[in-house]
Amino acid sequence: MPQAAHEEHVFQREARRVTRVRRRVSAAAVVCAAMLGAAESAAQGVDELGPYADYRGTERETPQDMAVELRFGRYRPNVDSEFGGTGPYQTIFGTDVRYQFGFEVDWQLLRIPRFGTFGPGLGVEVTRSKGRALLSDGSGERSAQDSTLWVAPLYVVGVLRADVVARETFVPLVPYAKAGVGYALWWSSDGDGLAEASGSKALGTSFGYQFALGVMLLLDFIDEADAKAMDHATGVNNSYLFIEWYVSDLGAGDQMQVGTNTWAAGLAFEF
Amino acid sequence: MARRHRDRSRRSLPLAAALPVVLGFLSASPAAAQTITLGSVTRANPRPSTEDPNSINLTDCQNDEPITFPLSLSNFADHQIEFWVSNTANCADRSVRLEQQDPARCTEIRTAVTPEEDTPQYTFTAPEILAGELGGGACEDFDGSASKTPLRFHFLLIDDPDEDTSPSAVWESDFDLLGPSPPTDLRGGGGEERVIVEFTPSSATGVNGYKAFCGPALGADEDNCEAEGLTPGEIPDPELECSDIVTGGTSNEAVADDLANGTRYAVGVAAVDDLGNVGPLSANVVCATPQPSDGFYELYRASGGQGGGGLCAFRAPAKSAVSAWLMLLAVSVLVCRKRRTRSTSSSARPGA
Repeated sequence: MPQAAHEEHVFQREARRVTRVRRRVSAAAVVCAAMLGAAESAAQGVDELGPYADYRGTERETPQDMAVELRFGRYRPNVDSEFGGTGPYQTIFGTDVRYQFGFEVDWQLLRIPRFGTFGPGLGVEVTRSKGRALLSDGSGERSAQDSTLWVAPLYVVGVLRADVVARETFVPLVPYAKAGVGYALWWSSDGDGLAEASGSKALGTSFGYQFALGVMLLLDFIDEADAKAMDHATGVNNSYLFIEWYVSDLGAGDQMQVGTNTWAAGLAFEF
Repeated sequence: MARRHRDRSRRSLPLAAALPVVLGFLSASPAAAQTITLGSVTRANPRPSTEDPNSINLTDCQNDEPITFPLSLSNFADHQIEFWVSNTANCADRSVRLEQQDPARCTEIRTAVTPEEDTPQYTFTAPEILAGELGGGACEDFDGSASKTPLRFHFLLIDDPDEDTSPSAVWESDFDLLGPSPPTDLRGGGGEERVIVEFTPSSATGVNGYKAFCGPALGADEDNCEAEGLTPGEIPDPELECSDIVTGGTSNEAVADDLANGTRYAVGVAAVDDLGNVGPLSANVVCATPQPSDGFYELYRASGGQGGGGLCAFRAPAKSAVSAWLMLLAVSVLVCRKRRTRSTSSSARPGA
């Protein structure tokens, strides 16, 4: 067989095999989206024939394989859950609402045809609770001294975004789900550096899982022309407002329980 | 032919006459090139870098801080060095030195000397340099500007006192002998071995931070809050300082620490400027009693919590976390395998 014909044969065989794999994985991804990928990101990225991109109206979109979220939300660590009743957290910090701020970066590694994207995401948040210490005399009166607890959860999650609705219908919503693991660094100060109690420093880590369900509102509909211009000028394909409910179970056993069950909202950009 | 010769002779005469003048000028020029340069200025007691160490503050003035100026001279035979100080004026200009009017005032702070070597060193005390500003008064009696003021110390190499300009070296610095106005509206309370004082920041410019000054309160009368040596509106005694400097002109809290629990203290606060000058004590002082207190972590541990102990107190993650990490690892492996397959098919493409 001539060399060129042999190469063509090898290529076609590989392409058929890849196509078979794609079909299988695509079907499975719809059923069990988190675990099974399909083709490479298709609204951007590369397939077996090389790089290509999607169309936005009559114009080609720039490649898209990342998402960034700027997040904020309520955060009340579950410290008291291991004690029952009014634990040390509520005693010092009360019941005021506390907030977290953070960001998340997602790599949209896989595009599942007619469904959405899937890939890993890495996020970090930080929250602070501050209150007055209690006098040790048992009177229940407050000292003038501050007591502070910082919690900085870091997490790695698989992110599945079903953008088919926003892409193929007039409804600009993208539901999504996240699941993974979290690692929180926490520390407490007493107004004079790191606090200590019984020779133990108020610095530690807590591990666990976390998951989230949310929905994103695609903002392109506000001004489609501007959205296209921004895509070509900056590479930002889509921008969203989002809100999600999430649960983080950080800390068990002899770790401080600094996870939470709350909501987060913010801005997201795909590029 | 003869006429042409006469013309050439006429042209040569002026050139011949000018030659000695030109040669004389060229040979005289190098002898006039006197220079004076200033080396690295040193202090006997350098101030911290946070306090603009090149400048002169009240402490330097009160302590007669010696400052040494190394000079390098050339062609200085039969010359004298004069020492002049101004705020901004160029004292190398004779007319400026003679003018003697603000803001061009130049003050000669020491009698001229004849240098005996080409690298002489001269040491001046801070009050000596500020002689023109102090006008013979004490450093603490200075009543000039409360903000940083420029200072130019000129070293002039003088040949003829009547020459218009002289070679000079200049030390550019600043001085400030007055601290900023104090913060107002002090209120405070006791913590664990400390008194925390909150206040409204000083409105002065150039405030670098605040310091708390304190002493055991005199008497037990709650309405009478005073301590020995702690006088509102006066520069506080450094011996009564009981906090580190709280940096930042807009800070609104200072902590008097290392105090004894159970003892009632009177605490005042003074502002500190960029040069380290401490201003007068706040118009009101607060009294509070440090007491043992429990913060969040102490309560957490007292309640039976086991977390903490530092990052080295690492414990194995819970089973659920291990499962989650393993699941994530499995997904990563699947993804990587998938990508490798895709890469293989792409490279098998003709012409790839």
